[in-house]
Amino acid sequence: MNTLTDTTRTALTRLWLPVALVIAWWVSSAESTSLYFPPLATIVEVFVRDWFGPHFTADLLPSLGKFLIGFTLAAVLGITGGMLLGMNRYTRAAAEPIVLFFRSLPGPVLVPIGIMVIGIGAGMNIFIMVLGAVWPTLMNTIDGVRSLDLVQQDMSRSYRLTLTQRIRYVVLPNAGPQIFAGLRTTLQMSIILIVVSEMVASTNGIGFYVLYSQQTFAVAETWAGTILLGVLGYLASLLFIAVERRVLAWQAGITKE
Amino acid sequence: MVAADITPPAGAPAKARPGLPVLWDARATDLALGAAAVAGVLGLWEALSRTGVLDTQVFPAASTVLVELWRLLGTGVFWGDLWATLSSALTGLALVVLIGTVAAMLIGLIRFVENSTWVVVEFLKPIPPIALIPLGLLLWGPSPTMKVTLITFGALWPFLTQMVYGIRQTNNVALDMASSYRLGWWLTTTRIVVPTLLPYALTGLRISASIAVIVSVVTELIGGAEGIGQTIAVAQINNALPTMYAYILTAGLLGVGINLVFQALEKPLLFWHPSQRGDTN
Repeated sequence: MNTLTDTTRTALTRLWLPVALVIAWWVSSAESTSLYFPPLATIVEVFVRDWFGPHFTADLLPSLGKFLIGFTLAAVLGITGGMLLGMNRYTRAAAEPIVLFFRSLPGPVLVPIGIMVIGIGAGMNIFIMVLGAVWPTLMNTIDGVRSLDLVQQDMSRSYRLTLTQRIRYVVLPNAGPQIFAGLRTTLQMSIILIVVSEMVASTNGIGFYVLYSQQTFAVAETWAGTILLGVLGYLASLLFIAVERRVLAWQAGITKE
Repeated sequence: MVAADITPPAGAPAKARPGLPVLWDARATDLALGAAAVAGVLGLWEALSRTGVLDTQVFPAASTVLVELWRLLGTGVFWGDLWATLSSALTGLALVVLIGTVAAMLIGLIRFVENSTWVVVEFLKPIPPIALIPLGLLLWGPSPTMKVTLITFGALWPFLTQMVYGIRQTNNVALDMASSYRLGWWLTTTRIVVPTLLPYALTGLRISASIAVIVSVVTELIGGAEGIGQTIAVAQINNALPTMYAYILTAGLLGVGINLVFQALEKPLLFWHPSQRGDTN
C-alpha cells in the first residue's frame, strides 16, 4: 500500500515538469506571429503532415537504413579490429597513436574528403559514418582485451583453449562492458555523422530535410525535423540500453553479489 | 560507464622480464613502436600518392600536406582560426561547469528536483547537438553566440551526469564523522566533499571538452561560423587540398591536445586516487 503510493508519487513528480513545459510552450506560442517561433500547434501539424506522410518513405526510411548499415559496419569492424590489435602487445603499442588521433578527430571534418572520393549519395554517407564512428569501439575493445587478468590468460593457456574458445569464453566476456561503452559512443557518433553527411552531401534523408528547410526559411519544418531527430536519438539510446542490459545481464548479476 | 568510455585504464605497468637486461623499458618500446607506426602510415601515404595509386587530385602527398601545415603555422590566419574554434569551445565549457555544478547540486541533493527533471534530462541527453544547428542558424545566424549555445547544450550532459554521480557517492559515514568531530563547513568541504567530487568532475570535464571541440568544428563546417571547420569547407570548395588536409590534421591534433591537457591536469590533482597510482591493474 505504502509502496504503491510512493511509486505513483514518484511518477507524478517525474511527469509534472515535462507536461508543464509542453503546455507552456503550447500556450505561449499559440498566438505567435514571430517568424522563428511558430505556434507549437503549427509545428505538430507540419510534423504529422510530413513524417506520417510522404517524407516517411522519402527521408525517414533512407536515413534509418543508412544508419543501420553504417552502425553495424562500424561496430563489427571496431570489435574485430580491436581484438586483432589488442591481443598482441606490439600491435597494440603501434596502433595506439593512430587510433588516438582518429578518436580525437571530429568525424564530420572527414565529410569533404568523402565528397571528393565518392561523391554525393548513400554510399558516401555510410562511408563517412564508418570512418568517423569506428574509433571509440576500436579503442575500447583494445583496452578491454588488454585488461584481461594475467591469471586468466595463463589459465586459458594451460587448459589449451583454442583461439576461438579463448575469444568466445575468455576475451569477449571480459572485454564486454568496455566494448559496450565504446559502442555507445560509436552510436552517438554515427547519429551525428549521418545527420551531418546528409546535411552536406545528400539529396534525401532527415538531415537534408532539416538543413534544406532552414535554408528556405520553412521554419515550422525545421522545428518538426529537429524534434524528429531528437525523438530518434532518444529511442536509439533506449534501444541500446535494453540490448546492453540483455547482453551483459550475467555481468550485472556477478557485480551485484 | 561513461567514464570507462574515454578513460583508458592507466597504462598497464611494464612487466619486468627476468633474464633480459634492462636497456629499454617497456614504455620506451611502446613509444618507439607508436612513432614507427605513425612514420609508416605517413610513408605509405607518401609512396601511394607519388606512384599514382592514390589520385593526387584527391589525396595530395603527405609531404605536401606537412609542408603546407608548416607554412600555415607561420601565418596569422591559421592561429586566428584555431583560436576561433578553441575560444568558443572553452567559453562553452566554462558555461558547462557553471550550469552543470549548480544543476548537479540541485539534482543530487534534492529528491524532488531529481524526480522532476528526470524525464527532461533523459530526453535531452541523447539528442545529437548537431541536429540543433539549423535551428541555431535560424535563431542566431553563423555567430559565436550560436556556436557557444550549441556547444554548451552538447557538452553539458557528460559533466552533469558525472557530477550527480559524484555527489551521490559522497560518503554519508564520512560526513557524519565530520559533523561529530565538528570539522566545520570549510574542513568538511575541502577534506571530504571536494576530494570525492574531483575525480568525477575531471572525468566529466574531459569528455565534455572533446565534445565541445567537435561541436565547435561542426558548427563552423555546416553553419559557416569562423574557425577551423569553415576553412576546411572553404578550402574544399576552392580545391586547395593541401590546406584542407593541413586543417583536418590540425583538428585531430587539437582533439589529442585537449585530451592530453586534461590527463596532465588529473595527475597533480588526483595523485592520491587509485586510478593514478602505478600499482593498479
